[in-house]
Amino acid sequence: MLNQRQNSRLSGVSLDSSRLLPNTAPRPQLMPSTASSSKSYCLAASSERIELTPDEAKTLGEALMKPAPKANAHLTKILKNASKW
Amino acid sequence: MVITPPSKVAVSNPKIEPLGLHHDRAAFLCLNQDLTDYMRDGRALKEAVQRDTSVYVCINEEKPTQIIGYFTLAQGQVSRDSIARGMYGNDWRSSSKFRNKIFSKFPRDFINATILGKLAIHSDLKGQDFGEELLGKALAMALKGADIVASKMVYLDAIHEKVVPFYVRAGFQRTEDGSLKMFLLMDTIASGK
Repeated sequence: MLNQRQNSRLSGVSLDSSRLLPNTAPRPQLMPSTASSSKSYCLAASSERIELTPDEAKTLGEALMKPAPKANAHLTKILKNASKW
Repeated sequence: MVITPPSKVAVSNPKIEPLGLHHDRAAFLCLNQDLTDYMRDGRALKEAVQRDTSVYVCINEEKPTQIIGYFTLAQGQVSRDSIARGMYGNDWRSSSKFRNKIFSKFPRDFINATILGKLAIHSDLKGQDFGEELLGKALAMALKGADIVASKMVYLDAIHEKVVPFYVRAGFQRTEDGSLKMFLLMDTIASGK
């Protein structure tokens, strides 16, 4: 017996279970979720995953949160040289 | 019979182009065996053909088949969740303050990066600062690519501790003390152009 809430949610819905197909599409998975500092977080997906430990992720996150530093003299020099050829 | 040694590779009129069938991959030699093998054993060409990574070779215009250096660029992603966990701990979602900070800065589930997978120069060019030139070219191309397909940084996993100072000089930062994983923000590269 359905209670009133379940009944109201199902009202007007006709469900033919024979037409349901299993969802076989691969889904991205986060693994592992154990948070030991020696574990890496990684994303199982089709693109290339960048695996970082929590400490590495923290460094990167903090850098991304702040305004990017200006290019140093060496970087500026090699970029200028690269534009010549 | 006089045997003449093979001529030394030199840089004259360098040019960057995508790796193709006409390049003499077997003649490439660098001081790192893995980077030499990658070019010689067919992996570089296969990955380029399959568009798994973009392989760019440097040649001299006078000798268009001779590879004097190469680098690879690919797209990669860091999950926002891993960044948030690293910064605020595993239960960062339970704090509205942390959630707001993370979601306002990283609206998407993943943060795009350009991966500088490999960079190598011919062994004859050692000590001529040609590696710096090639790195500059790779970063310039990464920046150009980021104008088309969004990318927040250039990321790399240095092949050895000895090459870390080479990247640090250009502004790369380690992800952690002692780690070989390094990054350089795309905005930093843009400011140097």
